[in-house]
Amino acid sequence: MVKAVKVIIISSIILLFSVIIYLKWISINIDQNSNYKIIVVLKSIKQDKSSIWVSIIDGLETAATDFNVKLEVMGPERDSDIFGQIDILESLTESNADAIIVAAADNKRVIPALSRLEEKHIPLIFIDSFSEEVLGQSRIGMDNYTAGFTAGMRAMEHIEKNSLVAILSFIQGSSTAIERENGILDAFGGDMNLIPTFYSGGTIEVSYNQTLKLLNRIPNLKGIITLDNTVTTGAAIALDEMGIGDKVKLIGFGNSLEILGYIQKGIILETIAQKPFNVGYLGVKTALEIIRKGKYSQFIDTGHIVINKSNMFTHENQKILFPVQSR
Amino acid sequence: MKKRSLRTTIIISFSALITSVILILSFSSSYITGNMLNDITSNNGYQAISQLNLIIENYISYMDDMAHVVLSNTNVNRANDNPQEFLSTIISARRDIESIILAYEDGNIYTDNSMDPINKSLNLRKLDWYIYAATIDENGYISSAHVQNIIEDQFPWVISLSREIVNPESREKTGAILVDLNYAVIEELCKNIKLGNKGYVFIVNSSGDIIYHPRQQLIYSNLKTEKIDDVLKNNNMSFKAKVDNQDLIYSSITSDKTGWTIVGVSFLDELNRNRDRVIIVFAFIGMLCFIFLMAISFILSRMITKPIQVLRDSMVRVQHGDFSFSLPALGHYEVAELAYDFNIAIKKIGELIEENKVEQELKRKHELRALQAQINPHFLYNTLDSIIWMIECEEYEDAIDMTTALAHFFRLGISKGKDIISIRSVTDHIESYLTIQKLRYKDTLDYTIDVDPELYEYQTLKLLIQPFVENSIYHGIKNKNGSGQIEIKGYKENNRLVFTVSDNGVGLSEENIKMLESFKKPTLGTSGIGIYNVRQRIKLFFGEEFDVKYTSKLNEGTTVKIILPLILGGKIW
Repeated sequence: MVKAVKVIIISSIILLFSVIIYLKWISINIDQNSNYKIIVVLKSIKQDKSSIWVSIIDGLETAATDFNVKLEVMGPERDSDIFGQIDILESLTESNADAIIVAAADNKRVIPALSRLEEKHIPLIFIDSFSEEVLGQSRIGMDNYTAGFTAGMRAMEHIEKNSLVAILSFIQGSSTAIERENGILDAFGGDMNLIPTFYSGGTIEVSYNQTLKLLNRIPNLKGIITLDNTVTTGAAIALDEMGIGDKVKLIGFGNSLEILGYIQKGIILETIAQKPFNVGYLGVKTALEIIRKGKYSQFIDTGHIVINKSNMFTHENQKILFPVQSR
Repeated sequence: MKKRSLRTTIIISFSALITSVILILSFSSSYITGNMLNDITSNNGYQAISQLNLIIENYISYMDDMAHVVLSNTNVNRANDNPQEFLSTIISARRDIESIILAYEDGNIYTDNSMDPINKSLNLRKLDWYIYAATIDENGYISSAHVQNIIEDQFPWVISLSREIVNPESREKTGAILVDLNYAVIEELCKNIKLGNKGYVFIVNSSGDIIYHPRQQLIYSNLKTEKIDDVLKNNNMSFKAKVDNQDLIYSSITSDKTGWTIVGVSFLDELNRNRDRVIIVFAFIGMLCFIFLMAISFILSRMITKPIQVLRDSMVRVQHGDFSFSLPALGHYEVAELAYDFNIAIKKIGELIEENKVEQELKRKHELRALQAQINPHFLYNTLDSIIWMIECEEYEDAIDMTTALAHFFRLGISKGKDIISIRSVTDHIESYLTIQKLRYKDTLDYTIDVDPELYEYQTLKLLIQPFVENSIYHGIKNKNGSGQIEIKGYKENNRLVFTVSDNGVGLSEENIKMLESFKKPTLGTSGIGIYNVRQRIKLFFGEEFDVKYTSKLNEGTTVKIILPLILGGKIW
């Protein structure tokens, strides 16, 4: 009798506990609001509506809702405010973020601040722009070498062999610039006559001026390959002004609306575009994988697409190239 | 196997019952409620997308109305007039209309804003909206979402509605009117529809092109798949699908007006979250019920089994022969009845056992009576032998005396079957006995009987004294040389009746006295048996305090003192 009652009491208690555990498990499932916090530090928060950053932020936010992540986007007022970004990164050493996604404003000067974050064992994910040293856990963006290689191959297709071609780069020593240039050179394989590379320093004005000079000095220049947004825009403006868009084939990098406008006008022949939405989306997705599983991939290539006048308005490309602007 | 106690059985069956009932109830109710919640949620979702469909249809109707208004303006049909002012008046009322454009076969394009530079590289005849522009009779052609590139350096996302412009005289197509709805309006509407936290809405047209999808870029990059074909197949029906490892519920509605299908995608796990909440509530309630009911079953089982336990304990007392108690009123009606009946039963049993005891005693007495009867024949044979012998010797006087005494002796001995006789009869009986023996032994035996006449009316058992007299003769005097003297006295002492039988015979050794007084049953057939029976009768009928005492001296004689109660008339027992 006593034994049986004991058995009943014990089994009741076990039942009770298992029910409680089951309920705990369910409520954990239900209460997913207390989730990971990911901080995103961009080059600047006030972005032109036309820039790819609108799509990147869209991708970040979409992933945040998809994966139930608390997202906090911050950054300095302007792109050029590198120290503003460094200040923000330094302040984050005391934050409770589970991961930090960074679009480095400068590939060298941000390194000390980032190292401090890494010492705190906060996972770092780079999107779009990386730091020089391979810091952090993952880098997400376009593979610059293959993109450069594609650009080179496109140029080979449009420009006759052994023509005079100029490469206009932005910042000397920048890893992005070097990788893209290497890709182009490998695609050429010595089949083009190259004019020594120009460096604009990252401003549209300088590249515009450089292009004008170049066109004036080398009248038989057949092609220009520009390595980033600013250089492409500057070169396009120069070509448009001189009205020789069809004589000099311009193949560039970047997908700003300005560049797309020049493609539509026929000034820029082709541009290598990124998939900014995917960069943002995969940034959050990768951060989450690192937080949850601790595994990280060194580099995720978000791919690139070649945009020209005939394919810029296809269904797929429209969505990648043109951000929706609310009025 | 050890049998379970009643209480255990009750608790076990109660707990089994409670557990199964609670489990069934909470499972079924949480299941039903959960499903109801799911239905409500999906119904809400369906209503939301229907609402969205209505709003979009309204927008499209509005765009169509606008197109009609423009077309009804006669200026429009004449390509040479500039309708720009008219267009900008119409559009100024609505911010959600991105632009109104008139495009003519001859290449003239008019927008609502004269400042806008027209994209010169445009080829009208390659544009869907121009080619498929609807006639006046049919529904307007509606494009999917696209980037409008008519105006240079502007790439707004729009949804376009187009109609033909027809020359009223020649009935020929002279151009088309395009009304562009800002796509952000649709996007905003879709984004605002909440289907749980993760659920979303997307729109496809009849050929499966995406009009709106929040993850459109992911789909184009193959980072996400969407069941667009299934949606178009299962028109206006809800279905479940597993996409990218997630269970989704698709519900869709297709508009006749636009040909678009608006699809709501809900995440099953989010839907189930409501059900899980219900499960928590039900499980909690179920647990409370379980604890409560278990407590009740414990108390109830105790209430039922406690009185039964008391009854059982009483039964154990009865088993040990205790009938001297009765139970108090116990528990509830049935058990109280049982206790009442139990009380009656043990009372009856007690009485029966008592009666049984009496009967047993009676039986013993009857046995003894039979033994008494056994004594008589030996004496009878001897006496009859003596009488025969006397007659043979022609001692007729003695023979007559002896026969008379024998007759007297037996009459008194039998005493009409009564066990109780008066002391007078006892005295007479002994006297007749001694008369017979005197006649047999002549001078070797002498006797005196001295019984206080006051005692004559007192009563006692018959055949109590005679065996001692017989003993004195056969064991005391018979073995002695010379004449024997027997003296019998009866008197009152300390309110008791005392008989003494004295002889001057061989006497008894101390060992013999001890042996006689130790009241051991002698072996059957030995001479001690008669005395043993007498003593037993005395003790049985009168109690332990009444007994027989011997005093004796070897070769001088023995005195037996028989102590009996003083009983006057009536029954002895």
